[in-house]
Amino acid sequence: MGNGAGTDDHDLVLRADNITRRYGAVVALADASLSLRRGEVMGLVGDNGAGKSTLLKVLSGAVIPDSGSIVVDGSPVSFKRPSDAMNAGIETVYQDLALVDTMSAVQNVYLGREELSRNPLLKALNVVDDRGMRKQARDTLAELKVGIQTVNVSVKGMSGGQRQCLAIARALIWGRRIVILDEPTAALGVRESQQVLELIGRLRDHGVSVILVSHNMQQLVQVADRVTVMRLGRSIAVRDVKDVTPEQIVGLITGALPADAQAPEDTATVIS
Amino acid sequence: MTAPVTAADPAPSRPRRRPPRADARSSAGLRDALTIAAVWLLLGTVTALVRPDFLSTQTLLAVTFTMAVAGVLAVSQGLVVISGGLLDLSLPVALILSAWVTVSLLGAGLPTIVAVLAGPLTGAAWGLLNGLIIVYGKLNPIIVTLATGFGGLAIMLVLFKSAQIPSGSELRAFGLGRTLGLPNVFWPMVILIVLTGLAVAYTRWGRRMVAVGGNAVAAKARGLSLPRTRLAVFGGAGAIAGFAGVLFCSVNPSFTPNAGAGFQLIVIAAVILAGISLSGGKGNFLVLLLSVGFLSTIPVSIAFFGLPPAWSLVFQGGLLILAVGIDGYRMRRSAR
Amino acid sequence: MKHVPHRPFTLAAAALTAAALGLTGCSSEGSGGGGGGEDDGTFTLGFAVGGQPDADWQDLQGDVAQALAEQRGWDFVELSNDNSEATATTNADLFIQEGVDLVMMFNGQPSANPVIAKKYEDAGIPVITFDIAQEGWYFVGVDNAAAGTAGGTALGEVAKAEWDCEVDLVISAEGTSAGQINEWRTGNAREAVAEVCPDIPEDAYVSYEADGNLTTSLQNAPGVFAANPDAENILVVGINDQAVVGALQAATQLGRDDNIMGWGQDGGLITGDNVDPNLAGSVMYFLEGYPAFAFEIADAIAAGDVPEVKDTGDDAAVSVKPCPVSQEEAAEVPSIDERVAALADAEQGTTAYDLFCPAAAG
Repeated sequence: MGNGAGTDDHDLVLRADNITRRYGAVVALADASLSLRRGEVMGLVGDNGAGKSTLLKVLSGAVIPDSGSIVVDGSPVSFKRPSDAMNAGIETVYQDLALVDTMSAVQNVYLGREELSRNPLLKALNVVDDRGMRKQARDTLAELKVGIQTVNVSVKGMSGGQRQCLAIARALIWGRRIVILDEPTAALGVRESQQVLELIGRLRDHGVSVILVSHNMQQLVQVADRVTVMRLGRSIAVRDVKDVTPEQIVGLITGALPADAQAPEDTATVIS
Repeated sequence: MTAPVTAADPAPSRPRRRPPRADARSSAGLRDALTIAAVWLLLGTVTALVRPDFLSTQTLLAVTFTMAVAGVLAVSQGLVVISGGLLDLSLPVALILSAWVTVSLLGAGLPTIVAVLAGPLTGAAWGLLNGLIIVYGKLNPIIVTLATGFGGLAIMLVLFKSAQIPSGSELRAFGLGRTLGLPNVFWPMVILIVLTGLAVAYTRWGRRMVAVGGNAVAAKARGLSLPRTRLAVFGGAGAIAGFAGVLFCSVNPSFTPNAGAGFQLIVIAAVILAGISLSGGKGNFLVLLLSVGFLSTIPVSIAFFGLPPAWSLVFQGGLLILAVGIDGYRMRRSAR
Repeated sequence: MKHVPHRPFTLAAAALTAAALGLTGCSSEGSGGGGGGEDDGTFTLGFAVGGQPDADWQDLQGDVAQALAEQRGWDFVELSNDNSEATATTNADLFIQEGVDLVMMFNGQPSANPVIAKKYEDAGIPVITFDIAQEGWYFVGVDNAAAGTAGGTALGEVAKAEWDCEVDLVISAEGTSAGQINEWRTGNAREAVAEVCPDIPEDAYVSYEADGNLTTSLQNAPGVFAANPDAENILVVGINDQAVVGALQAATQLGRDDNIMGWGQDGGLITGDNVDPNLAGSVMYFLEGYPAFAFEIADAIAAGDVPEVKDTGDDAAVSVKPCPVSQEEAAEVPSIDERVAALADAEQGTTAYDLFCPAAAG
């Protein structure tokens, strides 16, 4: 069975190996590994407490692992804080979306990375280039077919889908090569979920690699290229999506199907 | 974060309840501005109907003079509120402490420029002290500034019983003078409000401050440093309060340590009335200017109506309740 | 608990003084007075100063009282209320323990006074309170009604002399939260002005809220001048100097200070280097000298002739006489430290008013 594990290293934008993270006696991650190819959508699945969230936090710099290595674009990295991961080109879209309600779409998109005016005097005065940012935001959103009529509107009035799309599109505008999405459709209706999934597909078309955490197997099968399954803090299987059915993935998650690697049964209590 | 959308999503073409405007934020600001301007106009009209001589340069002088110190303090408080710092209840201390340092240096014969710069520096130091306690103690700003407000007052009571600006000093002469027919102290306040409004709206620094106030978690996730922003805001707001102290001592020839207490209510009322929500993240400084102007007109109108003195206290208390009520209403409506 | 500066002007020293002066019988016979527990016969006065940090007159009251007690050969125990209800209550227990025969106090935090009063009542110790009335305690305070009248009369006299009573506006800078005291000081001042200058029209009298401080006064006064644009000759009275000076400063800001005169209360801003040129005068109370008035009662109690308790501002046990002073006269009044020293040396029954008030001399 082509499980997609054997990939050429030069094709990988991200490679995390043997990541371990303990909280006291509790092992949240035990030798978890994950690899991500250029322009692919990697699903990350597992039961509650399987270690998905901790792995995401390690990859986005929010949690420092006890051991293990992370390689981005062939260079080893060590994230001490979220900005380290961002600087390495990894964008994480959190479940709470990280949008500021009182600000406009374009202001949210550029938050923390506001472009300064090209006029040297205004630039010296720390004045931002609103016109330029608006134009670029508008262009990018149009390109991604994100249905946001005007980027000047406060995000408060936007629907959940629009907000989610905006948060995801931000990654592209910021030039990120890796986007981590944590349950991006959890709070959305069917139609809005579809918009988000289509957007994820377009991100891939732009050469962006995506790690997608989801409980929805139908959605995963629709949009992901490969899927990594986690159980008890370990990454136990990697599959090409075209080779498996949603039922098989569920089997791997629950342990109904055997893991690829033999997991020692003496693993301490595992939490997410 | 918005409430979860129901699974049964509306049809794709269904228009949103309210069509998006060109700029929802500035139109909200415009609405606030028009509301306050209308109320202000109403107050002026009613007063002028009863007393036609209300429309006079004397009234203009009275209102603009009353606006000066309160306006500068309102800018300071406004910045704290917008940045999500809730409220700085120790502003009266920052004001009086800075004023005291300024007049003490003038009294010691130092050059005016040194004394005038020492005011904002003192205020900034005070603000930073507040900020450090809030950030590193992880404490509620209202509680912290309530405490430092008491403590600061106690320390000032030990330091001095009353302070006087040297009557022959340049700063005192400035405080008594006029420019373009209006009190000298009025103009720095206007300039400060305009500059602060522009800075908050159009600089990177202002954007980030608003973002921290609007959603600290989101701002942090975008790589902004919350402690640094908090410290900068409290320090900067303190410096502005210190600047208010300089203006204050130029017009108050003698003041006691607790002389700042009278500004607390009007400043908070002005900020809230201006739509600078206590929940942080938004505020328009042009509206704040209108709000300060409106509140400063009230005592003048009361004088024209010839109402008994206690009425001004009744009015101030009533306005604060009204302002808080409006703020609550705005929040509830926007939460829908 | 807060630090209680227990300054027992030591019993030994008191006894020594008493012996040296040979005043009271310090041997076996019980001296007149309430009589304390382990009394050695000497009359003991407990004195609690207010301890408010912004008021040096409060500590100086203690100094004056100590000097007067020394004069009489009494034992003297001084405590500070530290401007705190808790300390004031503790001090009551200490005084009762000490077995004092009489307590004098200024308590700026009077909310605990009913409790304190119960303690003293149970212990049978009479109390003299300064300025803040409490049922059952001898009230010694400035006669605010007389102070208002004195200030208003003085200002009216100046207006009569300078402007022939042609006054367009009489502004009253009030502090309504002070209640009756505000009414006495400002209301009586207005009446007194009207008495001297009866032709001032009734609608020329206006009031505004100054809250008894310069800053609030200066915030609210401009409107008053704007609302009376045609007034040229203007008089200002008020609850205190700060309120009056606030109005005078507002007049300066609005360019209305050509013909304006104010007369304050309490003398707070009538001395020093920066007296407002338009502050014609003020009314001094010589707060540090209150004990001299209180000793009238103390002497009677010590002599065994306990006077009737008068415990309200309306009907005071002893009224402190207010002293109106013009700006020129105020400059001649000795400083507070000199006054304390002079009071300590003065013969019994002499008050600050007798010693320092120009009106008393004239």
